[in-house]
Amino acid sequence: MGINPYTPYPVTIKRVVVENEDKDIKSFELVFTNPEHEKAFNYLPGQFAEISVWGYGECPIGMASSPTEKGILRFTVKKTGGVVTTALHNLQPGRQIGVRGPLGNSYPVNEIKGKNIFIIGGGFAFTTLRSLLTYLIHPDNRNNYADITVIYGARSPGELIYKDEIALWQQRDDLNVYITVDKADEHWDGLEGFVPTIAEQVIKSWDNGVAFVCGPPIMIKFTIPVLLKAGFPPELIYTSLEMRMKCGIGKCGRCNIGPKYVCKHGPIFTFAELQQLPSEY
Amino acid sequence: MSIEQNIREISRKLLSDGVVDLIIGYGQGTLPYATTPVFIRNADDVEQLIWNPCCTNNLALYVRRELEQANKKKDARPLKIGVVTKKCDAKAMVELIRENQLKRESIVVIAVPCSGMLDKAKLHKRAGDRELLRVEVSGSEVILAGRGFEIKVNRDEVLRDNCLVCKDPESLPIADEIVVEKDDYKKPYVEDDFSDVKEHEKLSPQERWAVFRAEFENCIRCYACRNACPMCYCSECFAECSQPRWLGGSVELKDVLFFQIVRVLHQAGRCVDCGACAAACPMDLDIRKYTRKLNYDALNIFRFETGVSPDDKPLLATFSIDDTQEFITEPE
Amino acid sequence: MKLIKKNRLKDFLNTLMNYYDVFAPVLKHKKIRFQKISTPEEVILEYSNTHNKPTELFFPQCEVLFEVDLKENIPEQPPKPDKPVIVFGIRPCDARSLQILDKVFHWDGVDDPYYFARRNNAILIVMGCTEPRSTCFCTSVGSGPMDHNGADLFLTELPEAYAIEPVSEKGKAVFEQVNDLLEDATEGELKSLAELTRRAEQMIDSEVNLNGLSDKLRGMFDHPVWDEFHLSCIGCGTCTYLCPTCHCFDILDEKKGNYVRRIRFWDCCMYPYFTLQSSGHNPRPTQKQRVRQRVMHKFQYFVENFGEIACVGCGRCILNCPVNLDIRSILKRLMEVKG
Ligand SMILES: Cc1cc2nc3c(=O)[nH]c(=O)nc-3n(C[C@H](O)[C@H](O)[C@H](O)COP(=O)(O)OP(=O)(O)OC[C@H]3O[C@@H](n4cnc5c(N)ncnc54)[C@H](O)[C@@H]3O)c2cc1C
Ligand code: SF4
Ligand code: SF4
Ligand code: SF4
Ligand code: SF4
Ligand code: SF4
Ligand code: FES
Repeated sequence: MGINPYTPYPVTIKRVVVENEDKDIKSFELVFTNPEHEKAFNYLPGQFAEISVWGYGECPIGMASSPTEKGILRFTVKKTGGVVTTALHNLQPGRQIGVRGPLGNSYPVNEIKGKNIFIIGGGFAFTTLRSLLTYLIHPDNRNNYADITVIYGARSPGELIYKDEIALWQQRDDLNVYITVDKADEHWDGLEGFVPTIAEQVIKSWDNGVAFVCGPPIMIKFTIPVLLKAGFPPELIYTSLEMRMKCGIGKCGRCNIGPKYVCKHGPIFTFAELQQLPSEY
Repeated sequence: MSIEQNIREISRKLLSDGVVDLIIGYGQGTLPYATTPVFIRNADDVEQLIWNPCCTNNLALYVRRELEQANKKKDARPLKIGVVTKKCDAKAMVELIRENQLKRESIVVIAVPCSGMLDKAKLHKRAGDRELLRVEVSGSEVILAGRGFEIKVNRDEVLRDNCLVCKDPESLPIADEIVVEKDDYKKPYVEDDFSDVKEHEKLSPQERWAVFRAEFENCIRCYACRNACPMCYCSECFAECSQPRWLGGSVELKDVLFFQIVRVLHQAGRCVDCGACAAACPMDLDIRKYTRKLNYDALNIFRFETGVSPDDKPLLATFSIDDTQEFITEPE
Repeated sequence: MKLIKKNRLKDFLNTLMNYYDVFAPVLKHKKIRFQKISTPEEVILEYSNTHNKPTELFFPQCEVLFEVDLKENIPEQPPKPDKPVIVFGIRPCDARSLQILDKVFHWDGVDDPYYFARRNNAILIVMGCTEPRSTCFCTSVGSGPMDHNGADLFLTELPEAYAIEPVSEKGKAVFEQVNDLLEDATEGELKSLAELTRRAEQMIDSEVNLNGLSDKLRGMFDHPVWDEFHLSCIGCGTCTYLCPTCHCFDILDEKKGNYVRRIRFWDCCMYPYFTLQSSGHNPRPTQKQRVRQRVMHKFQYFVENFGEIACVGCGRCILNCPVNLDIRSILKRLMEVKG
């Protein structure tokens, strides 16, 4: 971050990808206007940034790209009907917007070296997990980690995001990839069932693993017991939390859950940490 | 027996007979000129209820809120609330009934003969803005005391302005249980000729703007005026609506002006002149000036007065072919 | 320590105004609040405390973060103050509240440049409280009417003069600038100062014992006592907008033609929209939760993060809450219930 933590770096939208059938999830690939800014924007998977659309404001979005992907920054944004996400969805490549960050903590990519990795995601919340996965399987990093298992599900086949990449992941022999949908359609020949159910079938024991779980609250609620039953210690189950945010730097006072500020102490928390927090999120 | 004891007695009976589930009234405050709204569910707690000339808050807003929240729960029988009610609270409840925000049968009105409420700002002014440690009312006198001073002031002179123009405060438009005890002080009644409004209307637009500006450049947009008002009950207020965003975020005049004007306009034919907004304003701004202008228009143009009968339709929901149309201005 | 005779206070202020922009308590539309003065006559000296919080001088209710010309799309920053500022007559509690804000605005070394541009540019001349209000409870939160903490210079009103003590390096420099106007104190005046100091602390009659409160609160999030306080609360922002330690804000873009300005302005945890998420989910949907947030933030969360209570006992929230929901009553109740 620069001297002024409130001023964004100017970036240009290079490419926009519509990710789902409902067309309300788009990925934005951004390039920094100033190469110096790109250098300064030093991030790790799990962190987020405040995206500015001039005249509409800012909103926090997790980085979907990995720092190993040089030259671009990717965000996957769901149009909620709110002010900023709607404005962003109306923008075409070539337009300038702002990015302020990186903000928050990250997934513990160094601490988990040597471990078996379980990446469990649901819906469009797979964004920072994509960043993590891309980071872990980068040739420079892959050997630092043992087995990597990915369980990812969506409501329907049309709602799965990153479909092209999923196909590539499925072809790799150093990844165990399970893609599921709540409800299949006539073209779907993959798994059918909720993420927690698939997780229960796949994950039998802890086995020196560490789990990263992101998705709708209901999915998280039912996945965590599966992991605990398999023997995962609560300190090795990670999730990313969401609270309404503005400043992203622990000053505007709105994103706290008890004494913890999601923008500063989070957004990544372990289940053990969550157990210490009031259930006000 | 005092009014206060009378209120407690009625409340005790209502609660112990199971007529109501909850009594909303006034309890002891921590400042000499303040009371605080209390919520009593147990007959043994009625001693917390008090009555004095500092019962300024309009309780109708709590009645509406409690009923709304209770109705959200599917279970149980409908909540019934006993309300310690002075005339302006009754008028507000009448308006809320007319706007389908309250059911008459959900409330038991404990009608209290009010003799006017003290104006906090006037008290402070009379005490030379020194800290008030004691405010004692006896008959037509109010004793104001603080560190090193004690003065007596005429009670008539420290009543709220809206209390002065409040007619027959003993007779409420809705009442179920009547507090028969009376205060030995009778508040003055001043026929409301809206002379203040008329004076203001005489000013040029520039002068009116200057008056408005001088007042509202001090607004801190805390929304106490809105939140204290029984008639401001929208679940989404335009002030917070983000799509479209009507209002900027600043305390620059463009925003406070817009906030106040729209808030006031939304009171057209609805404001009961209870003074709760003005009493709540931490900056002592003269908010009432503008709601009164609308009340005057409602009366003057449509012969309409708020808070009279729960059976009539609200002003904005009525149309008559004879309505004057002076306010419709032709494009030039 | 030296004295400035009351009849020379005008010269004192005039001297300061030569070097500084001087902010002092003035009467602004029925209320006393801090404003930049242009003559010493504007200054109100008989005031228990200002109605509005003086922290608004450093963290104003609304400010422009930057402006963007859409054609150029490079955020620019607003100009910074250049003349140094003196805040004359700020009370000890409020001076302490600035130290509390310093912590938030410097959390983990991330400085808020807007706040610190003003903060570092200002010198605080604190006026001790010889006549505390009945709602002041500064002594309960680790301070007192003669607390020098946070002051650059400390003034105490004596019968005929003000005792003036430099506290910080910055204060010493000012002390030198006004040296010509100062006199040495006589034995009698020294005694009177000591006496007044003692008396002021005794005059605080509003004591709330907060020993161990924050530890106790840690386990009390789900305590039934939280059902007791919020019923009368109408969720206005008065208690936080007047509170000198409240620092919550919102950020918004405003657009006019090709011109966009990003502003920030106070916000408040007592409002339902404060935590409302775009999906419609609200983690604090009820007033009970919001009242709990306000109390917990000041007396538990802040202690956890910064090691001290985020309330300086100024009493503004007590004096101005439209329903007289008194923070002292809440605190007493929290202390007395079984945790
Ligand atoms: C750490 C983090 C990472 C996120 N990552 C993603 C992501 O990768 N993709 C994605 O689509 N969404 C993500 N979100 C959610 C996203 O921030 C909201 O959907 C977005 O703020 C809505 O903005 P809006 O202006 O369209 O909505 P409005 O309803 O108009 O909201 C106004 C403002 O309130 C704040 N706000 C509202 N809802 C939220 C919320 N749920 N979380 C945080 N701030 C909010 C924002 O500042 C927003 O601009 C993330 C949220 C957080 C906290
Ligand atoms: S606008 Fe003011 S006077 Fe009118 S009903 Fe509301 S609170 Fe009462
Ligand atoms: S109560 Fe007063 S200060 Fe607050 S928003 Fe209303 S007019 Fe403004
Ligand atoms: S909480 Fe109240 S008493 Fe404490 S600092 Fe804030 S306004 Fe003052
Ligand atoms: S969370 Fe509430 S109490 Fe705490 S600083 Fe913000 S507005 Fe004040
Ligand atoms: S000032 Fe009083 S009524 Fe308003 S939000 Fe604060 S506690 Fe509630
Ligand atoms: S977003 Fe401002 S404190 Fe977390």
